[in-house]
Amino acid sequence: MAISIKKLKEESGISKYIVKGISPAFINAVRRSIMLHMPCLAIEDVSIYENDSVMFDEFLAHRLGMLPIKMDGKSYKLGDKVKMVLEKEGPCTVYSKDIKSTDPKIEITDKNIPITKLSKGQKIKLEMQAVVLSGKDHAKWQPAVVGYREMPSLAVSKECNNCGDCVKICPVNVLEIKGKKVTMTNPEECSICGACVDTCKKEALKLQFDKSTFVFIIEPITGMSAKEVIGGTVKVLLDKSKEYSKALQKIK
Amino acid sequence: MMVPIRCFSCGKPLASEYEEFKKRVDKGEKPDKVMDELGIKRYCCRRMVFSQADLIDDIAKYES
Repeated sequence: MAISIKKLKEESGISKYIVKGISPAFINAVRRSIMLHMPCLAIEDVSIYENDSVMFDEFLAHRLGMLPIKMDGKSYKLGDKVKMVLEKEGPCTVYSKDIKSTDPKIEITDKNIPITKLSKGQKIKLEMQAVVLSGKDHAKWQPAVVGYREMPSLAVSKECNNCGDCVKICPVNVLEIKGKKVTMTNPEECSICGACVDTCKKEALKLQFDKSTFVFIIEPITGMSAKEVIGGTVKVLLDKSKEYSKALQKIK
Repeated sequence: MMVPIRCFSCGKPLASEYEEFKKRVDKGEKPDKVMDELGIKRYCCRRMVFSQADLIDDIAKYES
């Protein structure tokens, strides 16, 4: 069966796709590769020269490590490093926009992340090193929040009396009575909560799942587009498969 | 102490949204509506901003 992908509308940074003709194992491989193997930038080492703020050095370093950093995948490879500096004197709130990178192409994606607060006369001065690694090393290198679910559908038995209770209780409003029959109008929005099944007094409803069609949801968090994340991941997957087949050929 | 930079469960960076959330909720808007408008959808992320207690200003008083 041929694989087909349809993009649904993008809403507040979250992209949704309907993927048809694929096995659960394959789509899970894509999801896990995005989470674990896609190269990404994050601050790893922090040298603190001065920190007068009320926040402990470790606390501060941990917060800096969590910052999402924009990276272009062409000029940076796994293991590459970028230096960044942060110097500020109070009274002020230190934001992520105060961090200066030595490479103008690399910057913190979110400019308004509060890092710490300084009162009068307090100073911080630190040097950071961002490293390209993948989510396997730490969750801060994860480029996107990804998930998928099997496409749901609603099976309605003859017992249904069109009372409309299920339509009323649905929290995402995907049910509708069309021509005296309950139907799911846009199943990709269904959150599979099962409220419709539970509320039905006649027990006429049943949720069914299509094991070869998936709703794939991806929310990039480091400033890359969903397409870039998926594209980069597929490349990593391909390289890994090639390596594997090479190793297989060596066996006699 | 200060709002965590990312959601503990899913990893979405939320700290940049918190200041606006706080400002709007202090003005009297309903927290759930503000979170919806800021694009904080999942309940793991919602509890991060909703249950945050900012203590850094209280601690800063005792710093010599």
